[in-house]
Amino acid sequence: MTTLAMRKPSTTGKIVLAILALVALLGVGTGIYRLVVGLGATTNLSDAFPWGLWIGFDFSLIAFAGAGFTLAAVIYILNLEQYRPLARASVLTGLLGYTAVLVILLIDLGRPDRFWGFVVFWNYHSPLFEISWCVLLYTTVLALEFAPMLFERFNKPNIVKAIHSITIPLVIAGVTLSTLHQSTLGTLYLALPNKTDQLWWTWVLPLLFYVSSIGMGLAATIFVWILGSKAFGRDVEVDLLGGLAKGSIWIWVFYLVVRGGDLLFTGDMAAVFAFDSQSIWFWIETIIGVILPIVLFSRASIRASQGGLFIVSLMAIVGVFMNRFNATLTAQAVTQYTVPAVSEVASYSPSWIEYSVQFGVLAAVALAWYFAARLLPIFPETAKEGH
Amino acid sequence: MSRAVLVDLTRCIGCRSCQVACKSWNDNPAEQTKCLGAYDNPPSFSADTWTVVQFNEVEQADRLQWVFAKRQCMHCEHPGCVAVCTVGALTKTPEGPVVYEASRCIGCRYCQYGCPFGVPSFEWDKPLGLIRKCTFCVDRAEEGYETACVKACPTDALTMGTRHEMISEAHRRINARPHKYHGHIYGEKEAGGTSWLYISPVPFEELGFPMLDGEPMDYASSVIMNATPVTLAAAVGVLSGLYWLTKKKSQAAEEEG
Ligand code: SF4
Ligand code: SF4
Ligand code: SF4
Repeated sequence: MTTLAMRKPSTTGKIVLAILALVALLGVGTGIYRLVVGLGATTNLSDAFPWGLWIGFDFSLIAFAGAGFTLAAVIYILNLEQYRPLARASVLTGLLGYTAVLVILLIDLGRPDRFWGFVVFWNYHSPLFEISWCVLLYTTVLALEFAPMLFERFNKPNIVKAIHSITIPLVIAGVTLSTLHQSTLGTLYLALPNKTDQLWWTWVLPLLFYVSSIGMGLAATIFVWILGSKAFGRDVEVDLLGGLAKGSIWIWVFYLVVRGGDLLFTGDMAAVFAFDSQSIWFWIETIIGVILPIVLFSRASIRASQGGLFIVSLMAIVGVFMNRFNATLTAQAVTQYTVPAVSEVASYSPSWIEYSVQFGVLAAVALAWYFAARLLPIFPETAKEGH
Repeated sequence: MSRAVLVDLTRCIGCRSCQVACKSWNDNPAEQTKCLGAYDNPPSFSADTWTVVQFNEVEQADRLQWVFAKRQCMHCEHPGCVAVCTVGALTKTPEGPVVYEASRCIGCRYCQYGCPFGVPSFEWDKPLGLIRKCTFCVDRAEEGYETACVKACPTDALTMGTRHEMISEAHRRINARPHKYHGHIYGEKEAGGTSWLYISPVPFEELGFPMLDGEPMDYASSVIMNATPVTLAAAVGVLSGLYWLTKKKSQAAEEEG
C-alpha cells in the first residue's frame, strides 16, 4: 500500500465531521421510517403536489454532479492537459452526486421495491425513461472512472492499466450520456405545457438545461476543490481554478443569449416584467446564477482570489438550484379539479422528515467525499500518476 | 371504433348516482369528508374516488343556477399520462379506455403531472403506493355491459356509444335546441380529443374545465424525444471529432517544441 500524506483533521474539523455524521444518521433513521410507513405519513406531498423537495434536489444535484462529465470533456476531449490534477476529484464528485440522486429517488418512489422497472419495461417516449437509463449507464461509467483510484491504492497496476486503456471511449460515452440526460431533464417539462410556467416552458429548455449543467459542473468543480483543499489544509491551485472560471463566463454568456433571445422571440417579455412571484423568482435565479457570475468572473482580481472563486461559484450553483426548483415547484402544481366555489388553493412546504432525509443524504455524501480523499489518491500529491 | 361517453350537463341533476355506482362497482371505500362551504363532496379525485360530481354555481341571465358536472378520467385520444409514464404502465387501448397495469408501476408519479385533467391519484397512505384512476369499467365492457356510472344515471345525462356517434349526437342536440346549449363540444378537440365528451349550457371556463388547444400534451416533448438517436449520434460524432482535432494540435505542438 502506498502511504498517503493527507492531513488528519483538526479539532474544528472533528466537530464538523461529527455534526455531518449526526445529520447523516438522522437521515438514515427518517429514511427508513419513510420506507416503512409510506409517503403520506412522512411528507407533505399530495395529489396536487406529487413532487417536492426531493425531486427539486435530485434535478439540481444531477446538474451539480455534471462536474464529472464537464471536467472529463475539458481534459480528455479538449485536451487541456493542465486541468488533469482536477480530474479525480471531479469524478468523485460526480459519482457521489449521482449516488445521492439514486438514494433519494429510491426513497421518493411509490414502489422502491420496483426501482428496476425501467430496465424491463420500456416507454422510450417518456423523458423519465430516458433519464433513468442514462443515469444508470452514466453512474456505471463514473464507477469505472473511479475504479483506478481504488486499484491504485491497493496496488493492482494491471487493472489500473486495463481501465486506463479504455479512458477515451469511456469519456466519450460518459459525456454523450450526460448530454442526453442533462437535456432530457428539460424535455421532461416540455411534456407539461399547461403546468410549467411560461417563463420556464420553452422549446429551448433542453438546451438551457444542458448548457447550465456545464456551467454548474465548472462551478461545482471549483467549489468542491476549494472546500476539499481547505479540509486538508492544502494550498489551492488558484490559477487552475481561475482558468475554469474564465471558461465558465462563455458558458453563461451563451446561456443568457439563448434565454433572453428565446423570451424576446416568443414574446414572453411581458411575463418577465410582470413582477409577480414567478417573474421575481426568474430575476433572482438569473441575476444570482447567471449575470453576477459573468460580471464577477470577468474580473481578473476575483479569479485570482480564493475567496472570490469560492463565493462566485457558489452563486452559480445556487442559481442553478433555484432554476431547477423553480421549474419543478414554483411553476408547477397539478391542475387538480378543486371546488370552484371554495377555490381552495393547494400549497406545499416540505415536512421536517423530507428535510431530514435530504440533508442526511447530503451529509453522508460530504463525509464519503472527505474519507475518499483522505484514504485514496484523489489529490495530485497522493496520486501516483496524473490520471 | 372506439367507445365514448357523451355527458350532457343540461340533463344532470346532481344526484351523484354515478359517484355511488362507481364506488360500489369498484369496491372503493367511502371517504371521510368535511364541509367545505360547497356541495361538492369529496372536493376532488383520490385513490378511492375516481369520479366526482362538481356543483358549479353559475350566473346566467341574471340568476344563479347550478350546473353539475361529473368528472372522471377523460380517456384521451393522445393521453399525456401514457406519453410520460416511465415504464409504460399506462396504455391507450384501441377500444377507447386508457388502462393502467398496476404490476408495472414504480410509483414515480410523473403521470400525475402528465395528465392535464389532474386525474391519476396516488395512494399516499400506503407504504407501497400505486396510482389509481377511473378504468372506463373495462371489466364490465369485456362482458358487454355499459359502465357502472352510465348504467346508474337516472336522467340519461350519460350516453354511451362510439366516439363518432357521440360527436354526431352532440351536434344533433345542440342544433335541435341551440338556445339551451353553449355550442362547444368539450373533448372533441381538447388535447388531441378525448373519449369522454361534454356539452353544457354555459362556457366550460365557468366550470373550471382546463382550457386546452388541440395539441396533444406531449407534442413538443415527443418531437425532442424522437430526435434522441440524432442527439446521440451527433454527440458521439462531435466529441470524437473534437478529440481527434485537439489531439493532433497538441501532438503538433509537442513536435515543434
Ligand atoms: S384524463 Fe388524464 S389520466 Fe385520463 S387518459 Fe387523459 S391524461 Fe390519462
Ligand atoms: S406513477 Fe406509475 S403509472 Fe404513473 S408515470 Fe410513474 S410508473 Fe407510470
Ligand atoms: S367508467 Fe367506471 S370507473 Fe370510470 S367513473 Fe364510471 S363507473 Fe367509475
